Amino acid sequence: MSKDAPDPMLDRAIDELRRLPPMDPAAIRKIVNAAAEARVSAADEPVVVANVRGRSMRIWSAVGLAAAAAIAGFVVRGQFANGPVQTAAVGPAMTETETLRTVVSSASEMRPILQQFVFENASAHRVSVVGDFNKWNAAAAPMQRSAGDATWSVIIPVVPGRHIYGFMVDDSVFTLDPRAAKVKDADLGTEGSVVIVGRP
Amino acid sequence: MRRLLSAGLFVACVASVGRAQDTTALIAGDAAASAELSKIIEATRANGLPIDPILAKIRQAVLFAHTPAPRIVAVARAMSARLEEARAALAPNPTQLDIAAGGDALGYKVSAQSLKDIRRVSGNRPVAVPLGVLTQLVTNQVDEKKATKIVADLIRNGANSDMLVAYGNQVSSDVQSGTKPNNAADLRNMGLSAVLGVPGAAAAANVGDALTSAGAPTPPPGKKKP
Repeated sequence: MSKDAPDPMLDRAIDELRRLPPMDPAAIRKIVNAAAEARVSAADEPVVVANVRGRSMRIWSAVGLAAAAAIAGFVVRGQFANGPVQTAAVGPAMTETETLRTVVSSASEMRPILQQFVFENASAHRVSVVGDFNKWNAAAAPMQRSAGDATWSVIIPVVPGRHIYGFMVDDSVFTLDPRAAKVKDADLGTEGSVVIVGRP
Repeated sequence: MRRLLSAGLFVACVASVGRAQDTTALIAGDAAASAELSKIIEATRANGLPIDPILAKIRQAVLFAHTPAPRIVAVARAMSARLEEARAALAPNPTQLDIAAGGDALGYKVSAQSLKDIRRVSGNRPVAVPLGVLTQLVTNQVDEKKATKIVADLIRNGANSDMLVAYGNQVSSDVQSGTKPNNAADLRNMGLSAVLGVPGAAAAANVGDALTSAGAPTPPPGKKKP
């Protein structure tokens, strides 16, 4: 057999390798969103000061993102690998790639952003930040007092958007943030502080 | 079985609050309200809508607002309906955060048409932040149509989410300082539009003079510079 002569066995093997299972853009979107959403729930995220638990959660977050990246890489690679061979498929392939890029971009824009909350109270024994981002769970984000100071603070991941919050002092007194704008809740009529979290 | 499971999950979720168990007993002690809430949450979840905003609102109502159970049920039902309306307005591919932000905006009397306008100008990008800023403007008493147009124009002119957040906070601060809401919205819009390079915005905001005169006071209208 000459060097340039076609080898039917080899061609068949190449064809088999080139053939990818049909990909559903909606399914891809769902997987990528699920990976992103796994990090989205602020109530499930660790408080940054909680070192041990925080590390284990970040590992799981990293695994989720790695899985999403692997899927994205597989799909993009598959599309580009097919490009030169199946010329007719170039249009749809690029559309799916673009869709995927949009989905990945959207997923990254939905990721929680670290947000610092600061509160002054000299007489408090315990302070935590509560809001819609942690489902008003006073145990989710305890604040740390600065040594020899009346300043309490915490840094927690919060998803982009507008959020209502306040501070729970000594597990019993709900206090608004004097540094933030306040708003009356449309449904409940109670006042809360407002923060809008955006990605730069 | 699924209902039983979701009810169990909900009770566990509410009960996990710990020290505030006396207030969660309000719901736990009201079997009818609890069952109704479970139904609403399960239906919302089955409909593919986010349930976190509803769960958060229930906890806020029980633990912080001390809202009566029937009112909590009504609020949960209204939120579920708003989430559905927001999803329709933000079609075709809203994220869960988009839907939650849209539902929140609708709760503050932002119209579905405004949500559609923001979606249209944003294309396929997430709209949780623009809708948050729009809601903030409306809660600051800025006219809804004006607020929608400003946010849409800023997005169209390339404002990123951080710029939008800064804009919303500036307006909020101005309003708290006594500036009329619509005036504050216009003024800050001119400033940000100038930064974005929108034609005419710098002149309108008087930014050009301020920049070229290197900090010198701007002459009053009608007087020529020497």
